[in-house]
Amino acid sequence: MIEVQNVTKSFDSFKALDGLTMTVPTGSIYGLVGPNGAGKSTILRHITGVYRPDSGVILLDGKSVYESPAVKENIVSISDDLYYFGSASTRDMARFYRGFYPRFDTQRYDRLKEAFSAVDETRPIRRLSKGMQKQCAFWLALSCRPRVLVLDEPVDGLDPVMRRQVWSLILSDVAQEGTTVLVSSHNLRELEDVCDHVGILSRGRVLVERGLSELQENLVKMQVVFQTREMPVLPEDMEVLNVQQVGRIHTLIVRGRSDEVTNRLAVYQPILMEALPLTLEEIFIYELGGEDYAVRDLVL
Amino acid sequence: MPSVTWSFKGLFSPALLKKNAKRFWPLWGIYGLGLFLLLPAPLLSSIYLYIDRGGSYISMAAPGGELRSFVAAAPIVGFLYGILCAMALFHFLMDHKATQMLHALPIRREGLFLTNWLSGLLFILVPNLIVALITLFSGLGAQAMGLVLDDRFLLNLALGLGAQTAIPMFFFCFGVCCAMFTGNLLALPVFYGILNILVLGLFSLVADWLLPHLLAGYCGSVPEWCRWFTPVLHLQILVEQGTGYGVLEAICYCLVAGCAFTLIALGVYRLRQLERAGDLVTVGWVRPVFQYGFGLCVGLTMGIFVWRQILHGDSTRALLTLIVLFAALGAFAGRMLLKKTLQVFDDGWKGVAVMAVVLTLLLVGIRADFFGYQRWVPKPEQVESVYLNIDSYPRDDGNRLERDITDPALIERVTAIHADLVSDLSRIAPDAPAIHNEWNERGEETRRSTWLRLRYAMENGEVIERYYDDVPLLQSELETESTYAHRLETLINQPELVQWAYFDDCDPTKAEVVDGWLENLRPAESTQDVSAEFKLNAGDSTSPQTETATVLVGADTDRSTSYVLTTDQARQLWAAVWEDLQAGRIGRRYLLDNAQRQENCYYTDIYLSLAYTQVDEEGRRISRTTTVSITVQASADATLKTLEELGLKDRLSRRETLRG
Repeated sequence: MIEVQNVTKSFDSFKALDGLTMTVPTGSIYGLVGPNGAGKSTILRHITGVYRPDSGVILLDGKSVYESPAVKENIVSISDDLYYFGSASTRDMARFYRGFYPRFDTQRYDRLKEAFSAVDETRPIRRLSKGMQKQCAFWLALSCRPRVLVLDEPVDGLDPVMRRQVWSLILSDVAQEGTTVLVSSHNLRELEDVCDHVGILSRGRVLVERGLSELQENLVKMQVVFQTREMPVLPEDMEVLNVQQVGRIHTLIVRGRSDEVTNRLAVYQPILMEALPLTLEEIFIYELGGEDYAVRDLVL
Repeated sequence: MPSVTWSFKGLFSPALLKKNAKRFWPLWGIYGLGLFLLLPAPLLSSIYLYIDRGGSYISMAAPGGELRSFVAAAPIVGFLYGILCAMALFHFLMDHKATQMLHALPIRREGLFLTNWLSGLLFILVPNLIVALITLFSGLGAQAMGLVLDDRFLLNLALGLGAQTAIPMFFFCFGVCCAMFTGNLLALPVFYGILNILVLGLFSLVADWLLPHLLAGYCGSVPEWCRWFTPVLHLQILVEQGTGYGVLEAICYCLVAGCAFTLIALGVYRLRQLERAGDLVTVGWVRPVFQYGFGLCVGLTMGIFVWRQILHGDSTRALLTLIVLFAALGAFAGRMLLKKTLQVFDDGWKGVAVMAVVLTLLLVGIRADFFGYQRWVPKPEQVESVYLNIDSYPRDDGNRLERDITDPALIERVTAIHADLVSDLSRIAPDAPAIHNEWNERGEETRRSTWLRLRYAMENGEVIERYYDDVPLLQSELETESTYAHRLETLINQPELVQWAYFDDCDPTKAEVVDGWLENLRPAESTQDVSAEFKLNAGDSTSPQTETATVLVGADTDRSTSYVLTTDQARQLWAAVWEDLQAGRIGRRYLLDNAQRQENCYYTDIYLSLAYTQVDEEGRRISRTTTVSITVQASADATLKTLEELGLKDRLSRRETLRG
């Protein structure tokens, strides 16, 4: 389990992380989402032991990650900015990683050739395309057999087939090895498919952190046609995050369980009422709306 | 099958070491080739030539020999190779991607540092060892073929190898230390180069170019210890001494300083904020030091440069203003470099203003002698000896007095004169009006400036110097007993000082005259004086004519002759001169070429060669000869009497001036 406790980090006068606390359960696929500049990459660099926090601790199974080789042996990361030595090929890098990661599995490396068959393992990685370089990164990372895989915008640059291939390999590791995956991405649709936990970051803090299903259960989209054209005054304790009206149809985003909200709206005897599940993207948008980060209706 | 990790608990990584060796082979390969061309290649060529030409002896330490060149090249080679290695091995700290990749690996920072540092040492050591082995086997092979090697071949080879290894290692460690303070690869060699000469450069700038323009009596000399902080110069000087102690000292210096730099580098790296990759300066507390230090350096260099080149060194106030102005601009420029933006004026002006105020106060304080430097005069009882250096008329061998005075009474007189001199700083300040020589209508000098150099050896071991290059001398002051000019002239006419001025270390009582001659005599057939035609331009009594009194003004030198004395004549004349000298009748010194000087001094000089014996530091007796010139003076009764006996008195040239 990864525990991030009250971590702060400032770059000059800019506070990138502001008392961030989050927990990534072992064996989970944790999606880290948030607007640009929320601190996603910064916290991932702390979790991989690159950055030293100004305050707070980052623990993996109860042990501090920073400057702890024994802990870091279990963590492999794929950064959004990949780096390889000048003329190093995939095979060279595999040899290099083998010297650092005790669980590096040469046989697995050989087996993964099939999955990444488009990559010439003898060719300098820097001469490969961006997508190919990303494939190399996954090939090498998965060969290390990590207990924790930290991914920052992981499938950016991969074609749809390769995306599916990569996720398939990762999910297989999660299922068979209990690998913990922490992934940061703006592709919420994709995260929705693979993540079982989600943390939403804003301004260096975690706004919401729950299991995806729990998160989806906590917000509900209600499409309602009331008796009158105008929406009646709803109870003050009903937390309505967003209201849109098209004709007589009101679409309400309400915080609460679907059945509870349905029962409370039923009091108004609507002509039509339907509870719809929210996508992760909608959750992201409406949760951040409270943080003064909403899609603005601009007319230019 | 899982592989075995080799990271020695995160403190060392053979994988990284191997990777470094493989990645940077062109670097150490070219270095090795360069070393080969410096030592084994010329040696092998020499061996071939010796064999071909039938020679039988090879020296490895002869001047211009292969080993000497090998060692002499070490500082420059090391200076360049050291920073190249540091840049190659630690560039990962200056690249965001590389920083993240390498620091995410399961290895401690100490491990990354140690592995890369060891890689650098191996890049230096291995090529040197290979070259040393090739050289050794070449030498032994030559010996096997019947050539005789220098008997210190192995010792010299070891010293050469030591220097050629230790010096690049030192520069590598220095480069690594610099790398820890910056996150910019291009800035690294710049910092490295500047820091190599910063201390000496700054001290030279301040001591040689700034303070002499602010402080009266300032003796600008860069302290010897500055060289220690200028490695490339220090090491070059040491290795140029040869293959002996100089090289050993260089090796020791490199080892000690290299270790110190390594420890500093490791300490800084442990605290390094990796997110600073790309920044000019990565360590928080160094950022203001860089900004204001940069400003100060810019202020001094540009301020002095503009002052000298554009304002032609006029006005101290302008110099101070320029320094402060350029320092402020430099501090803004430093902030721009740190912040990587031109928009630094809004939030940076306060710090720059404080710096400008502090710098102004400091410079004005120095100029106003707030620290008491200019008015400082030692208490006589605290002075062990004082070195006095001053010039005077006539221009014979006694004209320049340079002597360490240890007599307490004389020391007291010197300090009193010094106190008088500094009591009115406006006359001797660096920006005081220039003093031009002046003569009256009779051609007598009434005003000039001279130098006065004082070096006090204090009882506490301290040595304090004051050099005054423009001490005003006025005829009116020479005539007034209470003035420093009068006291100074009286002092330099002390018999023992006059004797020192003429004879320096030679003891005239134990010297023997070996020959002698007279210069500037009138021709024997002529009865006319060699008259000086001192023509003054009307109304131009202040025209600067330096050394005017040292030449025969307008004299027709073609008409003056020399007269060589026989040994007996020389001895006879020396006895008379010595008698006059002891009685103070000859050798009288004058600070101005005034009426007294002109009336008392002939134009004729006596030259006497004295042979004497000196005992050197090791107790050996060494025979020496010195030639002393003494201007004949009218007061020298015994000398004039002897010259009369020798029939030369009538041929003495009088210096006459055009009067009226």
